[in-house]
Amino acid sequence: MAKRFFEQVGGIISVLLPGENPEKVINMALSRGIIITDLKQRPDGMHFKIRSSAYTALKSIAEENGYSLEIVDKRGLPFYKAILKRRMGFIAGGIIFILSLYLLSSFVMFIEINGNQSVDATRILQSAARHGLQPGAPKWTFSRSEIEKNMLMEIEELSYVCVEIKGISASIKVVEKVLPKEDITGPCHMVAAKDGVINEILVLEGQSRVSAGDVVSRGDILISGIVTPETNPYMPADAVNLPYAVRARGFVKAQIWYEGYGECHLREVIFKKGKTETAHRLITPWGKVALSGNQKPGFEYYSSKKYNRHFKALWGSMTYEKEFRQEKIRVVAEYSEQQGIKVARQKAMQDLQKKLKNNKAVGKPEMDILSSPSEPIIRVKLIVETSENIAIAEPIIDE
Amino acid sequence: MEKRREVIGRVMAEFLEIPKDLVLDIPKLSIIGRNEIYVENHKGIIEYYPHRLRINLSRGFVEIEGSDLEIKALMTDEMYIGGIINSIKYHD
Repeated sequence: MAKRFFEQVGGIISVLLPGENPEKVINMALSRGIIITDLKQRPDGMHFKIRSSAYTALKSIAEENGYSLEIVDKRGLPFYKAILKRRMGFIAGGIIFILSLYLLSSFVMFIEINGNQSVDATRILQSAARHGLQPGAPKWTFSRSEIEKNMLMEIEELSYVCVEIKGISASIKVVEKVLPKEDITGPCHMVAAKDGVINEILVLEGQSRVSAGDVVSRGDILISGIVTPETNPYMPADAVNLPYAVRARGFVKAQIWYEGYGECHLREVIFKKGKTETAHRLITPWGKVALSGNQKPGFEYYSSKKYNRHFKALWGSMTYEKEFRQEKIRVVAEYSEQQGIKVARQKAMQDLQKKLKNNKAVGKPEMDILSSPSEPIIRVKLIVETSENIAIAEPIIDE
Repeated sequence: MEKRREVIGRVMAEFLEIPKDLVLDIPKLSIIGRNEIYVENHKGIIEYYPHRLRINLSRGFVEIEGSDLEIKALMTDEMYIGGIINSIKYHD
């Protein structure tokens, strides 16, 4: 391997030494320190390889002894030099290409933000831009660690920021702080968050206004924050017995009913998902340039989603647009009454699940069919019962 | 005179336990299998054909017979020969 490398660097010449008794020339070349490799005797003469630097010396030895030296092949870097000289434009083009590729990849063109939920992406982008990271910014003008540090100081809601640069796109990963809920510290009532029937009540502080079995509506005071001391016969007659305000605390468990509604047309037109296609295009200040895919939709019915990436170029703002199309196949679905009830029940169940959130239902849901048999639509109502704490704190406002 | 110098050199090499090929310019042939021969301290080529190779030594010459003989590397003191070797003969 090393031998071949040095041969390439120094340059190797394959020569042919024709004539009788060429050993004489070989021996003289050896005495002059010329290194000969791959020596072979063939019918036309002796073939061997020498370094390009030794050629002149060998040639003079051969000529002194009445032999003529023929060059069969030349290999190595010194011989490529001549070819390279002839193709200067090609080499220059290659170098310019590599340099321009390097130069273009040294700019941040796209910025992606991940992990933010309540903090606005624009705010994060603005903060990053203030510290040097913005579309079109050269990579050497900013330091990742500095941006991360400054962004954390600037946006208080963030607990972690990580800036990653991959090629021409930058990714900002953020983790938001989980702040404790602001608790009411002043006097307050515990009021009903939902309508329901009280099952249990546990008063930790304050005065209960309801008891088990009571029907309450949303906003009704369950545990009052204004406590009126009870009179007792042993109190002195002149004792002042004024009501006072506290921060009411306690749990009120109530039976709550949730309703879910669903309907199903016995004959309806539905759209099923079909094939998909994607089109890529570049929106320049002068117009749209198609990059790949069908630019015009190939489906009769379809839904389309577009993803845009904006970046600034020297000649103006550019947008890379990716359009994703989902074909919709029009199908007329007909249901029997039983099938219709089943579909409407499923829809009602989905509606119910949304309303229930994290609460668990007690028992199975009750189904009520609202539509009459003559109607071309099945309407279903599902009712489910839960038991949950409905007490929420509400501050007492002095009027 | 030349012979005396050689005798002294041999005695000294034996006494000091120095390899003789270094002190006395004696050829050293290393044969690897049947296909490779490495010759040190040679004095040039006398005759070369693909079936026969005669190498000059400080005293006499060595004749290598075989087929497809080829000198892979040839330097002032060293030589590396490849091919199928049938016999090696020393001649004065």
